[in-house]
Amino acid sequence: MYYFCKKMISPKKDLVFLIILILPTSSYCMKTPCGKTGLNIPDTLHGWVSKETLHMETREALYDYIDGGAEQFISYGYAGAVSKTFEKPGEPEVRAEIFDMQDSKNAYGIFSNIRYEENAGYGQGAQYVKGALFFWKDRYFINITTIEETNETESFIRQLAEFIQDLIPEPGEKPGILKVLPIQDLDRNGILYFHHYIWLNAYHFISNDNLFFIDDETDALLARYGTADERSVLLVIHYNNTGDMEKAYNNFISQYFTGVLNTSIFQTEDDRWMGLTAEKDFIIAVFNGITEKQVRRLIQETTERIRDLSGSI
Amino acid sequence: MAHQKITRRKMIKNTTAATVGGALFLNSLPGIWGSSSEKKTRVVLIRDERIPDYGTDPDQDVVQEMLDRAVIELTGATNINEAWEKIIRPDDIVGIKTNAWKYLPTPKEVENGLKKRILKTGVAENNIAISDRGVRNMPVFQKATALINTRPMRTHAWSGVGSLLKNQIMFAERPSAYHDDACADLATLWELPQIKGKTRLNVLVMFTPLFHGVGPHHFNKEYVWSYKGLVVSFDPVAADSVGLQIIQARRREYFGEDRPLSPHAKHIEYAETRHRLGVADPARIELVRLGYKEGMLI
Repeated sequence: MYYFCKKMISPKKDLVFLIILILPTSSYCMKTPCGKTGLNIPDTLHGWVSKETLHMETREALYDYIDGGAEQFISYGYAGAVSKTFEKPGEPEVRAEIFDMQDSKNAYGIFSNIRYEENAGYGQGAQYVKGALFFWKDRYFINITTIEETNETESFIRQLAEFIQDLIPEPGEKPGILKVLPIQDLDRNGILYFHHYIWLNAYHFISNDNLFFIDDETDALLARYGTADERSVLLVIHYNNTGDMEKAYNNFISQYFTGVLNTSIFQTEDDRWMGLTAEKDFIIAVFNGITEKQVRRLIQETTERIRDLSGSI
Repeated sequence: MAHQKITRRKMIKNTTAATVGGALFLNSLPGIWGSSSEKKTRVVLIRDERIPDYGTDPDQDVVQEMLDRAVIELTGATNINEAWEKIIRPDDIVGIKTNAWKYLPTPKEVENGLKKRILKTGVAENNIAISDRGVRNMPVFQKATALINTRPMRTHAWSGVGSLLKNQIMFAERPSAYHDDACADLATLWELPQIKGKTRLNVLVMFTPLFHGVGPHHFNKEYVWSYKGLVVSFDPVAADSVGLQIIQARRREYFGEDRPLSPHAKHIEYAETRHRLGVADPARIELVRLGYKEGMLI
């Protein structure tokens, strides 16, 4: 964070004076001179005039600010946010929001949760939907929207995105667990990183309950493979240690199946194929497989990638 | 190669909700519904082609016509006055719980249409109030003997969908206390003194539902569509269940594959299986379809 602050006030970038971004997070700012500030927007930017700046420094403030959606961000480690609304005569308002997610894994995670299709080149991953652009970079998730897209608002949304991405000096690391995903047939827009069990059913309904004991101490991934007609879903969960993994593995087996499970690849009552295995302190599962071969390949490749991992992820 | 199929437990999901021995309808007004647990719960889905796209106000007369037809069908009455007499008494104090979410609020035409019929039953105008955020403080809601619950259905970033069940959350002293486990137990709201036994009618607005959310505010006009419908029932769970099926069908249609809501809208099935507030199981819902048929999705 200290580096971030230094970079922001560097004279090399005139525009940096226009926006000073120091998002409030206790974990980063307690040991640095960052202090407790927010997004400072100039009175005018590309002909647009700032109307309102809001700082959301607590969960309660986020509840008030996002009517109904705060929990989604809190489940990814939300630490604070700033919001700035711009106006220009004859044009709909444009609002920029920057969410500090504490680390880059969380910023990637909330982006992976929200994006439907990565189709824009901002930050480390971006999507443009009519009237909205969102992207992530380092530990920040950025959302820029207007209620009514015009040529002017689209242009300003993109200018703002470029400006904000340049304020964040360095890219952040993606979650290490992504390294275990097999590449073949992977839907690049179908990868979800999470550490709250609520998101377990995002691609395929598995259970309403937290059968895998997913929490902030675990890293979990869902990934879609194959085409829409032949979709299978890979689940990989990384636990702190083998003991935690075994508890979750045994719990899932006892709660999910009616009988004894004595094989790792099997056909389910709906004629789909499923795989379940453990490697080191990972659980690997494949749901909704069309063929045994497809499931076996996903299980084997993921297992091999986990074996090849060196050091912590 | 011969193999044995592995059987999984039923991980309860809304479309396969476990049957319980008859839901407990908490909203009792004699004569509206029978006591037989065998009887299916009636839900009326009415659609009208004249309902406009998102951003344009619907015609008040069209909305009134839709509401009236649905309520007559729901009550089995022969005319609209008789229908509302089965729902509201002249001495009732009536709160219309609406929804003010800025991107997709309850249309004022629906609020007006409901109020008009309540007035017609003989309820004094000063004994009727319409509110969302003010329900804990407004005298009419504090003294209410009857509630009408109405809101648009939409996907929701934490509860799966914004539902009729969820619409009562503003009666809670601390709404966030109901957020745990993706709002799984929203049905317990209906045990609050201000609500329990008072909700006489539920109107789920599906004129332009939101079927997919994007961004922190979970709204983009790209993801609303003109469904042109109202879902009306005495049972909020059954109405939500129908609305949810329509949303899921639209998602399949749009994405070209089954895209589950995330999070899963478990609060609707739990309203039946855990809390016995109503019926979520589609097999035990009698769905009456009225009006415009194209693109009905259910």
